Amino acid sequence: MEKFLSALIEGMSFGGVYALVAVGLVLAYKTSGVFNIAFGAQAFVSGAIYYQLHNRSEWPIIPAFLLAVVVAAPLVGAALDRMLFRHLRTAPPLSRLVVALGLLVAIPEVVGLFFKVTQATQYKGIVPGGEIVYRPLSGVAITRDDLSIILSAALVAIGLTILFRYTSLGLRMRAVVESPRLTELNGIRSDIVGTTAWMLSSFVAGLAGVLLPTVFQQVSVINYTTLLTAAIAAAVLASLTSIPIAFAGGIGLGILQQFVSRYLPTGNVFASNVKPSLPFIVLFVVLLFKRSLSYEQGLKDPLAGVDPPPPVPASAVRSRELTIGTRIFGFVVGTWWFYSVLFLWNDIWLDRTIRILIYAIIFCSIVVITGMAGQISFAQATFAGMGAFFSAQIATKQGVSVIAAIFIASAVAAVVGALIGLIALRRRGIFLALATYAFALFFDNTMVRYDWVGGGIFAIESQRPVVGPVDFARPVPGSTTRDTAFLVLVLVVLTLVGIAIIWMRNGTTGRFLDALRGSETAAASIGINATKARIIAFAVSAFIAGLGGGLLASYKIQFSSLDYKAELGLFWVVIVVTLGPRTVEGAIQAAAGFVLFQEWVLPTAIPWLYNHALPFADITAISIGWQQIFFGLGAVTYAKHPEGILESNKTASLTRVQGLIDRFKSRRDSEIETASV
Amino acid sequence: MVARRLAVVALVGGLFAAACGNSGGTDKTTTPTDSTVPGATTTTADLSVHLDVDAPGVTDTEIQVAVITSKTNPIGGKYEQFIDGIELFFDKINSEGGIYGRKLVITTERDDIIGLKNAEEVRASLSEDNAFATFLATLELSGASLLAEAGMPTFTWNINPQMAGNDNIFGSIGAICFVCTGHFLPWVADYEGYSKVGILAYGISPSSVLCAEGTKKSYEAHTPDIDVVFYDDTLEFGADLSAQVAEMKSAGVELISSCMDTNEVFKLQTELKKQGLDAVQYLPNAYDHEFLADNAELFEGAFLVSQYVPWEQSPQSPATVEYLKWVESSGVNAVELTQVGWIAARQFYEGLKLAGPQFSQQGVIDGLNKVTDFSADGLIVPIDWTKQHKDPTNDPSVRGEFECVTALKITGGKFVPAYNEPGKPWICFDPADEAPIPDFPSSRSFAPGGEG
Amino acid sequence: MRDPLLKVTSITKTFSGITALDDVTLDVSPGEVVGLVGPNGAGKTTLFNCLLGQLKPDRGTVMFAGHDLTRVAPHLRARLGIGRTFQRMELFSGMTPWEHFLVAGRARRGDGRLWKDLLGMGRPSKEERASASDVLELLGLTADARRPIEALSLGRGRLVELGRALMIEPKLLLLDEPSSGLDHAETAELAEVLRNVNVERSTAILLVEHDVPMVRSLVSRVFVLDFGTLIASGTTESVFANNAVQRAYLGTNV
Repeated sequence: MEKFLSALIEGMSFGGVYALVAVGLVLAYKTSGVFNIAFGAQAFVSGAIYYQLHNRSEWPIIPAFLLAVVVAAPLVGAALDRMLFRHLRTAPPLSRLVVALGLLVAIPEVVGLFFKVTQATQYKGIVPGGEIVYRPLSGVAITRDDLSIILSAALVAIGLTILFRYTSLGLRMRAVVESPRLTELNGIRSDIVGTTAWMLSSFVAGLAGVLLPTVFQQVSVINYTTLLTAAIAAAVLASLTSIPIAFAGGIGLGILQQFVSRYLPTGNVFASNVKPSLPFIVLFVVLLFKRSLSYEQGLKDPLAGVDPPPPVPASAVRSRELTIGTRIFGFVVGTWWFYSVLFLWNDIWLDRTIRILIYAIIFCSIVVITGMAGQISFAQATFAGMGAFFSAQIATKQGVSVIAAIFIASAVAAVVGALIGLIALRRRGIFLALATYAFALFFDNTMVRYDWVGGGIFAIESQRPVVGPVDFARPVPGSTTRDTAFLVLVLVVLTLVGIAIIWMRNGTTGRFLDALRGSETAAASIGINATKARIIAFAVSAFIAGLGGGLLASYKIQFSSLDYKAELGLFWVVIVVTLGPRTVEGAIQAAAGFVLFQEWVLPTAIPWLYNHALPFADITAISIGWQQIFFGLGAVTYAKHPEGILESNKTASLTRVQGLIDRFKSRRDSEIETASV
Repeated sequence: MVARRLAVVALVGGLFAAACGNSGGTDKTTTPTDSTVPGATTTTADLSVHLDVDAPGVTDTEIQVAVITSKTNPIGGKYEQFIDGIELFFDKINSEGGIYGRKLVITTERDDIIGLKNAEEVRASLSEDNAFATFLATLELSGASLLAEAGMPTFTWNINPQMAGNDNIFGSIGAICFVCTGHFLPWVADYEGYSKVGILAYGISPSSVLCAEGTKKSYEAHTPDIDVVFYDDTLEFGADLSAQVAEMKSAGVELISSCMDTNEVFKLQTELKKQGLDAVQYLPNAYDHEFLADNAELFEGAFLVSQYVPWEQSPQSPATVEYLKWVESSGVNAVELTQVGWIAARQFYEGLKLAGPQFSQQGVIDGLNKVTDFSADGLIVPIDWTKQHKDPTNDPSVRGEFECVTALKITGGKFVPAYNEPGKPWICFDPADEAPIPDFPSSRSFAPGGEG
Repeated sequence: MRDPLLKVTSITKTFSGITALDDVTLDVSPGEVVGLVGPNGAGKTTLFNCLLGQLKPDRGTVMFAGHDLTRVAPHLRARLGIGRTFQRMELFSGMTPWEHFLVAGRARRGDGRLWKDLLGMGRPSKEERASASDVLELLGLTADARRPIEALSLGRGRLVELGRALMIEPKLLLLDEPSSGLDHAETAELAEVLRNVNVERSTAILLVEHDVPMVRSLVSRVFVLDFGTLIASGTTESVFANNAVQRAYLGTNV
């Protein structure tokens, strides 16, 4: 009984925080159609501000709370609504998700510029003497901090009920939820109501943000990720529509987690893997079995949900001369780069080039799934990880040749990818994306820990391949041999993958997927099997990711599961989406951005430019967080440029050049004509 | 977001190795003798002779080194302060005229972001930095083999298994035996009269698991009367510990040995208080004066060990006094790793001295590898580099000569040295696996003067 | 009389208690043009969706060219030779008419084989191009072949839908109000095209249409639905003379 009550109380305090964010998610989704996965990050903002003010600067609780939760959180919400989400009402759901994803990646890093996250521990909550323990019954203990969470959640629940039942603002909000256009016709300005709802939901998220650290005793972004996933599970349980169900779901999940924690044995590997993964498992299960999610709920705006036409790739707008011109340019740049890497530059550039090419292979998998199939998968890092873990296992333990091992491992990834595609298929759009994310987190937290998969977090040994007479072993530093053999290997693989993708795109698979993107019903009307096409896309994509992941592991000789974390997968999507998700070229650009930004641009190039541009300037390096900020904000433009910023600029400039050529040609033609006359 | 999450998990690995690495010495063949006064290495070379030297990073006026730390590592470990310690020691030497007519200079500081990019950063450093020596304080040491292949004299804060087997890498302790049994914890538990022990570790970090295993084995080997009544080596980082504490409470645990970082032991302590379990914690990695300032009251009565002779020793060791003098005049915020940096620089300096005026990278490595008792003037347990590069896990003959720790207790809001005699900061045990725990361990000093 | 190409027997479909289709039976012979008329909400689109597998009827069977379609997935019905157009246009955004036709032609030839793509054998073949050109010509779309679909007028868009359906070489075309949103000239043009299709390719057509003159000009037989029930069927002239039909159209002068 003691155990039961303790678990119940403890569970309610965890659940209270989950419930708050879940309510925020539903509120925002209902009023703006945005599934704002950035709420985790927004909660973090408030948590960080509060910690900075109360713990570090020793402000009293009330002003710190007011600033962090009552002022800052709604301000962030209002700003995001006004600057971003308002303009996305008619954007397709996936674009909106990508925008929120960009924020999720960027916001914590922006906070990190001002807030020293290191050692943000020993958090003091929003009530004085939070650690004071009450013992209502013997053996049952509850701290003031726990009470503060439960009470806050209850107050918010009551407050929202009153708001929606009895106030005109609440009524208007409900009306906006039902039909924004109709409300407008009735003279209610839905944008104001929308902003209010955003501020309200952000306030609730901010409140969760300052409450959460009391149960973890520290302000750390990971806890907000867990929080977010749990809240997503609760919100999905409520089909993203019912606030009371979302609230109850959050509380219920917290309690369930505590019961699992208390009643499963301690010191058991399976049990301890399951405990932290519970929110992910619940999310996955809910996504699988909740039938009503087959159709996108929420906004039924006739303008919403229609994907904008994928813009014409740059290659389609240019004439033959220009095509030849760009190809020559690309060839010259490529030749110059490889010549320099091989003969002029030092080993580090060879190393970077190899890694760029490997990441380009991995990113090609995102080109397939996102660029071609129009789906967002957050599990690409996991598929790459499977390629790495399984190939290392097979090669080391079974003595299979490394290349064969990588192929086998990639095939395993492809099968898993196909299964994920199959079971998640009926969940369209954002729910499919969420299912892949839940799977990735589950794999990370549960599977990777087993020795036969990822072997914990420490270095796993892998090998370089030997193909016939060629040994790709790593050369000894300082010796005259260099890693050129591996460079050739990855270049060959990337070329093959690139050609395969281009052929796929121009062949049946790509055309069918294009048709499916355009209209699923129409595609069925001409006999296209949507299920099969999507599963093929998932499988091919997972295979390519596995291939790249396996090569990366083989190249590194020693790698760890941290190279393939689920969160990394989010960032990969962000960077590819920013730099060009529709072409192999885009994947290479994204890979170069991924590798060079943190290793060269931020620590070397920008400081050099800055120091040379300004006399007496002396900066040594730019915070690495700028990479996330830069590309996160880049992804925010996805709704406007689904083909990627770089690609869209390329199209624009090529169009301009083409215009000049055309004008020149027509003038010449008319001159010839005049002359002939 | 990405970086943060990774940081947390990576951190887990790093610190416990240090926490548990103190069970280093179990050399059966050597009996410590009182006459040993290690640390005072001899060199005949005149340190002001300036000869032309053709070696990477050596100019007419400077000897340049590179430093790699896990600076971007938001959760734990104040890694960047390692650099301060190196700089302080270099300042000291340079103010005395440098060595071989040259000044010691750090020319590059690299950020091995949260320890994940160690191999990449090492590779970049080797090809771009043109350094004579490399200093590392990173979570991971996946670049160890690269450094070894390049023959780079390397000075590290040793918490990684990868140091073993590379005779160019010199840690602040020798190669670590992660699973050897130690005598200190069983002795303390026995001496303080605890009979029920709980052990907690992270399941996601092999070194944390090994640490727990080693701790358990230590109790079982040396104190059969003490029961390990609670054992959980499967914890998730940041896990909710309420179930564990509840079980420990019903099992009547009196002493908790964990292999977790400071925030986790803080959480554990709070949960203990909440559930009303009055057990004492042994704190790994807690010789941190900021941590103490924040939590003295909460942790009253807990005990810990430090990585070098603690400042609280009275009388202070001359080496400590010298170090603190430089800390004070420079105004840096010194933490535990600052002094580890100082010790690393001290070891590099030793290598240069031994290499002579016609020094080379190999000369520094070869010189140090002949040293049998490097103790940084008594700040650390002497290291015998003729054997302590090798992995000691299955080879007792390459373990260090001494099994010594500097113990501290948190008493009245302060770190207070415990169990040792004044002037002799180290309490030492017979390192043989089968040696029983003594009634009371002997105290020792490794300082050149035999005091402090 | 020949065996009917499409035979619908006693289809019934209810939505949460409301009967949308009640025991509807109809048939279409090969090469025949049949009209299906009725006021809004009569159940025409529901019937279409039942025929195409988008909805599952509660009772009744659909036979097509000797196959029982009851358990056949929508995309497989297309492969059997049922082409369709949509009342609310469903085009593949971002693709040109040419690409629409190619993809439909490919779908006709069976599912794509991934390995063929990966071996670089996925490009359109000569025959695929030829048949796409034929359809372009038939529909008078040759000039617009390479323009993005978004740039085409509604009328042209309807033609692209029709062409796409033709590319799968259907035995039967189901057209859902193809003239809606078109002006008179465009409607006439469309009727002309449909007549050509029917004559040249001997494709049977089941036409749902409001535009009575158009129906009259094209079809030989008509079925009339009202509130889910078939209220009349027979030759065009006899049906439009029927009083019940007049009433159903509420005074619409037919």
